[in-house]
Amino acid sequence: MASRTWFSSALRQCQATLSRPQPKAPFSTTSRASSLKDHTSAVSKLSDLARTPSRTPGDVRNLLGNSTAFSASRQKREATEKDLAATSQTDAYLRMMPRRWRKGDVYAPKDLSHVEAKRFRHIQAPPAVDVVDMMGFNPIDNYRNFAMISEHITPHGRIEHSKATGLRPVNQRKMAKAIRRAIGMGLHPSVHLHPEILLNHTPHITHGTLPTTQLPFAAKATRFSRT
Amino acid sequence: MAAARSVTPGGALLRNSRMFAIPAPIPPPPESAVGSRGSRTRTLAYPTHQIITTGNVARKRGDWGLKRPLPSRATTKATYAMLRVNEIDSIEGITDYSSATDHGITLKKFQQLHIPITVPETKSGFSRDSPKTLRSVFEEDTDVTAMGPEDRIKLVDKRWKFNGPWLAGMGHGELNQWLERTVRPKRAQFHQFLKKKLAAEITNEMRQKAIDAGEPEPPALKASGTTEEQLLQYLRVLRNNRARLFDMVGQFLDLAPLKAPNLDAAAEFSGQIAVEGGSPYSARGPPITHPSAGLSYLRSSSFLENHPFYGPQEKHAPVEARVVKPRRGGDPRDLRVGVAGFITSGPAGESKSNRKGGAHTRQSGYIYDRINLAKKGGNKVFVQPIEAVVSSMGRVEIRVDEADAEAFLVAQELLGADETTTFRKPAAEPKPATRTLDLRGRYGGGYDKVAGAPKLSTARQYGLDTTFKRLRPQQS
Repeated sequence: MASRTWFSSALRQCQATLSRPQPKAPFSTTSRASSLKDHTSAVSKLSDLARTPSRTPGDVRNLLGNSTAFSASRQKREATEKDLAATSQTDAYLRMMPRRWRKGDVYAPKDLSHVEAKRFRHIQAPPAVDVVDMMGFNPIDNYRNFAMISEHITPHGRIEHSKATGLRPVNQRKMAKAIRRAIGMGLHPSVHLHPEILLNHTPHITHGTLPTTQLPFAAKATRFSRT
Repeated sequence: MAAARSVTPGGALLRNSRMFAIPAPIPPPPESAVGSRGSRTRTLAYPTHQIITTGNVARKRGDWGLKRPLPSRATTKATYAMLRVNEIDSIEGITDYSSATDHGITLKKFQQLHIPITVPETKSGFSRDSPKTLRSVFEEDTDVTAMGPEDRIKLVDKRWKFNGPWLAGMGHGELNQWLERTVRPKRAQFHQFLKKKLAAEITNEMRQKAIDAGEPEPPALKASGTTEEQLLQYLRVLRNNRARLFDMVGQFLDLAPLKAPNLDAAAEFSGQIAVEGGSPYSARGPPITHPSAGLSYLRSSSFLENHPFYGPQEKHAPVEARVVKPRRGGDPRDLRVGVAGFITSGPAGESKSNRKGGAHTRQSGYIYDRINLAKKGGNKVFVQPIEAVVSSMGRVEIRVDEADAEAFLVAQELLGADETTTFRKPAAEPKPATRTLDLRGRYGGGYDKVAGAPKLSTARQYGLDTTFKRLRPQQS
């Protein structure tokens, strides 16, 4: 795992710095010494190492030549690469379908269309019930609950409108008072969410949005490696 | 009185019309406070407006029995004439309607499954170890609502309709509100109720003593015969005995039964909350409609389909279901399959969709694990629907099983498929998806087939692709 991340980060560094034109004469890939001479060729060697380690010079496996046992393992590796690419592709398409299908949902052809799928991406609707009434608590008595405060402010620290909180006017005023109290006492930041919530609930964007066939290390890239 | 008032001919005509016959809409399906918010235009779990239909000739004219004819281009395209009317006459002077084929056709499809609607499970344990005994919702002993107060107490574990709420489904604030507004004013009535119970208990005691002593039966004690002191003593006894007190309170307020669920390790793993004995509705609450929800009146699926050549078939014909959401990471429980327009989880127990591991998923052709871009509409699987249960939220949960291979072949043959397709091998791996460049070619300016390069500009044309090119292995 560590080697893969090293490869991908090294590759990105090389991409950024590569401005020199490629040398005209193709150089041999079998000589290990030649791979150390040129920086650009070293980068291409990285991709070589990743894709076809059989061609890595000086490798023990090279001594055996192109044996059938080795080609079988190469086929297995290629099959694994294909598997991973397919799984990665399914993940990418599933990210386009954010709706959580629950048992008992009814669907018609329109529910499977991209129009409906898009509407499930950013859920703007307020809660159907007033949560303060439902849970039966007083927001002012819970001013120290930074999770409650963070839930009722925007990411920039402004108090949410009742259209977004779904609270009735009495409870909206109590909640606003609790938020002002918490911020005024310094228990909660005034311009962003509480740091403990930022730490644990920030969504990570993976590189899965890129088409997997275009990535040089298509098989190696997994959804767990961070960009 | 309306009856005394004379009805004008126009009035008589209107009263018998469709316009006056459409009932008021019911409240939308109850959703949890923070979950299930999404598109406002999505199909609801059950319809809230009545669906109206009309004949073919009338439909062409736009005549749906409403205040004005409806536009023909919008209402004559669907195969089935189904509409729901939100407003017969709005402030803008139009009829606010929309197509109701989503719920109407779903109902037709459900009825074509020919499965009964059953009562929820009462036994705890794995579903595959103990096969569920299917009990129809139309059984005579459970499907009764008109009963006296004594029968109500006796049948509390069988009936489905209760006047009081299900306490486990109420939030803390809701419970407090209900106690303040509904329960507290009934204190005097509760004391009267307890007096009756006390009188009955005292009567029983006296009768037992008389039988033991050999004396004649004493007369029954009435509620008015009990004293305040006796009632106070009875209250003290009840306060010390919680179960008995809850029994009394439950009977008085007609509360839905509440029983602690049997949450042992096995039940937790299987994801069920089942209850040993007792009411089938004590785990998740009583239904908000009749347990059948008016969907189907079939009492059982114990009938055989008769094949013209092979005779009566043991298993029913399997039904094609759509894999709406593939399972991720080999976990079978998050597979979502759509049967007759209802979302359900895959077959439980031993089935191809529940087998973990690379070999199994490969054998099934990755139907349950991957999105198939090559096939129109995605992957489809054949399943055997067994039964449906209407939950306490009004949702229909269909239980399906894996399709029998022989039943599948017979059904396909009957539908006209030839041998090459009926005796099909496990689905081959789906073709690899097209490259994004191909997609651009398809939707953009098209592919220049001679040169092989897309007409629409691509990253390659801007030289942004060259970095990848350089990294490809040099041909030595």
